[in-house]
Amino acid sequence: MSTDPSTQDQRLYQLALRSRQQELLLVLRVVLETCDLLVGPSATRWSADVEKVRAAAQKLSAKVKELDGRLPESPRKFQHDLRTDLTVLKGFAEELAEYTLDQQITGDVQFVLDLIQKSIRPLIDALTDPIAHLEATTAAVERREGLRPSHPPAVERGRVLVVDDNPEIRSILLRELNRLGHESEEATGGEEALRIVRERATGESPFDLILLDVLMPPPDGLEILQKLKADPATRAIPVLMISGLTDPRVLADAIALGAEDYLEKLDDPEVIRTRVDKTIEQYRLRSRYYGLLHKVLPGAVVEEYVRDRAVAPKEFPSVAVLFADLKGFTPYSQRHTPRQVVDALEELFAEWDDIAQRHEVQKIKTIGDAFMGVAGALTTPPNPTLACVNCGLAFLDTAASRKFEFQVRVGISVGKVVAGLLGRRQFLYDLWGEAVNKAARMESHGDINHVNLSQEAYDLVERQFTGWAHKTEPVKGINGLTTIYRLSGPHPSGS
Amino acid sequence: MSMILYVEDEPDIAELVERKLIRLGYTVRLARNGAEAFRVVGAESPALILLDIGLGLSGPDGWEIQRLIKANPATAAIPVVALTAQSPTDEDRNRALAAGFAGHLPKPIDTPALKAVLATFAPLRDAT
Repeated sequence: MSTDPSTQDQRLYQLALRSRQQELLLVLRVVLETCDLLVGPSATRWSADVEKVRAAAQKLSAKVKELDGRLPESPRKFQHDLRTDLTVLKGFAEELAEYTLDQQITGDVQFVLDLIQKSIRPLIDALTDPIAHLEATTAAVERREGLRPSHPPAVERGRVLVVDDNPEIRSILLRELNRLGHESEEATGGEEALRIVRERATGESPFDLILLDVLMPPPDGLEILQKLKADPATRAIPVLMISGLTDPRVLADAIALGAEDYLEKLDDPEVIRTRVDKTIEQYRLRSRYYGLLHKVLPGAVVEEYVRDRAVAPKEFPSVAVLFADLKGFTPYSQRHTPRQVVDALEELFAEWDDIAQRHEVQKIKTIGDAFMGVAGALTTPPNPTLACVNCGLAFLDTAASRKFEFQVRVGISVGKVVAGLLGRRQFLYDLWGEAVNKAARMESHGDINHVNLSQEAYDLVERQFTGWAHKTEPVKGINGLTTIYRLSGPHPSGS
Repeated sequence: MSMILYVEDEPDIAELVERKLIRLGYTVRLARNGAEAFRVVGAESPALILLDIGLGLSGPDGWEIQRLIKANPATAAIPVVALTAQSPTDEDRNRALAAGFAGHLPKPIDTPALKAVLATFAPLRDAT
């Protein structure tokens, strides 16, 4: 590799440019995902305007993606095109805010408008400012002027860890961070930093940002950075490197390893403030993006979706599928206000979510008052069928113990399924296959307040539970007669 | 009555600005190119023309349209405000003013800036 300083500056600049472009793409993705939430399954009177917002965000994304980290060939034209899309994006988002008093969407629309004002617009300005491009061939200029947002975002307080072996640098940075309103803590070396970050990552007050010195007695900054980025529990926390007279190649390596950016030890407070605030804000944004995805996708496929922007369909040879349905719900919903109905359902399903998770059953979806889950596909309990049975029994208990005015019926089957993600607009991760049909039939043909099993499922749990072939009857969609097993209790020999 | 002619080839932006103007109490005519703009200017007389100077390839560009409007004594008095989707440099602004544009509005259009232009060049008469 060349050590020519201008080449190094170029490389740093390229990395910074690419990181700005990706930041913009990330924000646009949040806008697109928010649009997905705004457009429900049925057309509403604001759908057309949401579509315009979406189309503009997509156009912007496509143009930035095309650059792929490079400078645009014609900055003037690029700026014109981006600002045209921005005008449409902002305009229709404002339209939505203007005429929709609907509380269901105002929060989300306001969120999009804030993104446009605080992130998208400054980023587009930064990426399309022709003067910045002319002068930005050196990292120095890029650092100080070109790409600093014109409206620095006001960021909520964050929790920051400062890692440096030099006590003076630590105290300067701590004082600066406290002055900016952030909560900050310190670590004197790499090992200590790793321990604190890991401890807190799973607790109630994880860090929002780590400032990490490059040159420390071993393990040095790069090594700690690598460990943080390799650990799923700490990977997402942004890291800013603190550098003194560090070789720019080392900083470039750090950015390539996943550091967001770097601070010079004695940077002026304005630079520290901007970079710290920006990094924390971006982190929060990314967390919100993950949060949105977790609302609509099973946790196990979120990672895959984020990485590939798609989820490949997969075949699972033997998984257990569970359906649970509320009986007597319709009369209940006629006697109570919609608010009460939704609250009751939400409470019950929240409890079911926890139960399912405890039993390693992955919720796939709820359909009205029914719950569909799977074990052995996205989770790997030792005996998926047993996991579903225990989960189903716990569901029955919730209804019995909490004086719900409705009862529960559970059906389980086991077999081959195909799983995949449907829909580009409204995501639905779903399963298909005979095991799914059969589990649904076990539920609909089964007995209320009981767990009902297909022959295949029963065979896999008969050492743990007793039950009997309760009915043998024709079942829609399945040839011949089908036997439905009803569980009666744990097996006397217990296991 | 206050009628505004808006010359814009980007349909989404035309729709947005039209909605805004209507809400503010104006009557709006939209034109996508020079030919349509001249037709409106000839038949009715707008109080103000908002003109995108970055119009696409078909027909005369914004500068040419403005020049023709100013060259015709029947329409020369109508104020024309330039809209541009680029962040205007001082040079751009001076060039626009030198060419006889009454004002300059960058996109994305901020409602307060639009209102200021309207209040200056096309004030509404005593809306009740």
